Amino acid sequence: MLEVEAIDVAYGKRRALEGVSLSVGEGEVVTLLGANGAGKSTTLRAISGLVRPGRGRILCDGRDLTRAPADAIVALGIAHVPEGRELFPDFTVEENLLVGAHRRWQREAVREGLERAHRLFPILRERRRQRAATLSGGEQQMLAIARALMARPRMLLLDEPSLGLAPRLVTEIFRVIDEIHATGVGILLVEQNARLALGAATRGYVLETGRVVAEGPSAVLREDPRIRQAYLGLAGTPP
Amino acid sequence: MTTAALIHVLVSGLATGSIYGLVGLSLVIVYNATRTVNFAQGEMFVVSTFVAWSAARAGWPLPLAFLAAVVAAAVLALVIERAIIRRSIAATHWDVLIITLGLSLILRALAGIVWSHDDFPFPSYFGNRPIAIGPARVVPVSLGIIGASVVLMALLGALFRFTRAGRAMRAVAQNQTAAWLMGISVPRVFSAAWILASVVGAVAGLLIAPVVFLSTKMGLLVINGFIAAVLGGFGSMPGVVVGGMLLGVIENLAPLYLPTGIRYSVPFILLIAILVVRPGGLAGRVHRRKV
Repeated sequence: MLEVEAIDVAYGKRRALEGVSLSVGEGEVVTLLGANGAGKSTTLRAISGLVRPGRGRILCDGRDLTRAPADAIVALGIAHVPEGRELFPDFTVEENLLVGAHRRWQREAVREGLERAHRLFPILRERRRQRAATLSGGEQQMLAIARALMARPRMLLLDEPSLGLAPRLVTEIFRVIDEIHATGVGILLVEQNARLALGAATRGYVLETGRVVAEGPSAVLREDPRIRQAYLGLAGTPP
Repeated sequence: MTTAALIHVLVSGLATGSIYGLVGLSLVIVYNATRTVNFAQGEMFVVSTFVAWSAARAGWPLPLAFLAAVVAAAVLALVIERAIIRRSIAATHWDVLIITLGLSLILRALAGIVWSHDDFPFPSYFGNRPIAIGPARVVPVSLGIIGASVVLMALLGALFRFTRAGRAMRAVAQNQTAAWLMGISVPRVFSAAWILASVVGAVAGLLIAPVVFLSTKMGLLVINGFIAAVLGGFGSMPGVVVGGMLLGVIENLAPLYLPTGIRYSVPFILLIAILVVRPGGLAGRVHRRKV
């Protein structure tokens, strides 16, 4: 469904991505691994139209969206949960969810979306009249994911959903990722916790300084000595 | 001071205060969306008010002339935003500030060329027979200005609170990146904010013109609107309204207790006072910058 073809992205003179290619199929969960600054977030930002690739193409169902504005990309069914959550701090939880449904016009669909969000994260129903800024880190992450789902995307770009969360909440977030996957939504997951990411995804890509240096099914990546050492914190060779 | 005199001063203070509030609101609407202050706002409503004046002189009925002014205000805002402001998107806020300041001078000169810099009486439409409020007798135009402003402010409040477009504007004000990711077209929100602000300004111009005479100098009202916005904490909409009313009342009250000449310094004294005592404004939060 999503095809990234050899994109370059530069911030001023600094090159962030060089010839990055990847693909995510309909309903597939794919993870993007790499150290800080490897270009994972930049890849997601390029897909959702927040930064423009200097070269290469990004296709969704064969449609070129390399130059499409970010709002049009959302309308095509790609929703991005950005690094740092980027909530609307002065909006209530409910207003954050409603603005997530900006592109959906039927009242009925919006109401169903709210119900779905509340089913997925019951805590958001309890907190619905509270300002987003007053939520805990875990609740904010849940709200960010729920807000993106309000657009009813076919593909979700998730940037470090477990960052800074307590282990119990990390488990909770990954349970929800599985649930979202089960509803047929494709996921491109950027995650520092490589073990969990490879557990949730069927395939993965490894980025190093803006280039893809490895790719393959999760099971294969898990056994790769370099990945074991660099991202899983294990000895080079599998036992 | 007698009660009658006090009521009189309060009502006329609230009337001018409403105008300051509306002008302040138009500044804040653009500021919240785009983080720039549009100093051309004053001259923009000078132009639209002159459009109404010309239309009325050409024999149009007053409501139609007002509609022409509102449409002219919207078109002018759209043209300025699309043709000039959007092209300077990479400029700093300071640069855009200077651009709007320059625009205000250009618009004033153009208005002067078309309509001259003379004072013109603007048709009054609220009637002249004083209305009794308790012991005081008040001119209807003051009450009309207050009433119309309050209605417009309530409409704006409802727009921002309850509509999809209003929510999109508030979203852009808080976090532009996130707004993009929600599928909001940020440039379209910028245009909408400029148009809305210009229409609010146009209404302020149409309300005040019968009281002060219509002239290109009327654009200077933007300064008091700016001060109303600062008093309110630049960004808070209820804050601007309260700031405007406060400014209007104090401005009308001060000459009664202090030397009359103080009147025109009142806004600036208030501005300095609020910035020293409460830099975040009455309703605002303070973002301290380290020096």
